[in-house]
Amino acid sequence: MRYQAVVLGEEMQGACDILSVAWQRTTSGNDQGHYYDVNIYMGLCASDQLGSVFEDNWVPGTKTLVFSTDQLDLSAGVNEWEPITLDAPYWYGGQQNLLLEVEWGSANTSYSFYTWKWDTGAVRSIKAVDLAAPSGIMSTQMSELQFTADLDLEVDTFGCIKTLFIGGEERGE
Amino acid sequence: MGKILAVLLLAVLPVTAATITVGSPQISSSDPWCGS
Repeated sequence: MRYQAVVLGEEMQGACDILSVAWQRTTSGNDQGHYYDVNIYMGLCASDQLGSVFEDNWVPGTKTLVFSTDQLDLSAGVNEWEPITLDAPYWYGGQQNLLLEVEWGSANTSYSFYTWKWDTGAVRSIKAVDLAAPSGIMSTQMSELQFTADLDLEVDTFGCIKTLFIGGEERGE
Repeated sequence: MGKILAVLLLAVLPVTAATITVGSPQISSSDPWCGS
């Protein structure tokens, strides 16, 4: 499975360190799922909509591996969020769109871990069953996502503090 | 004075933990974890 979804800049809350990403389980399927050779990437996307070619949706140089494991076991009750803690916080600058890609090589087909999605009204997700597929099926529907993050100071706030600092230096304080 | 104030401001302005939820209303089950 190869899956991409774009989160618009306006849907985030500014610059932050993203610590985890979560999916919310639906009322159907199983309360667990097991996946193998899982990689999750984050980066930036220049457009509010995705094209069909996975690699073309990344702003060049921004695709970052944020989570990788040989086996991922998901487990959640109905409507509970199942978080995946990133291997290291991902710094999101707060301006552009955030692109998320989930890849897994295989899954235990005895379980189906269904998660909620929503209709965005624009092509904001693509998927391919074949992990090696260069392009995917485009959809206006994408996963509901929940991020935990440490919000950073606003850029202008930091600028004000820096100005105070420099002002003090210039006055010899 | 400016330097002291800057250090104090950076010390007292905490990093804020947040939960950011994207998407609503929910409509049905979905990828990428369906498992089939």
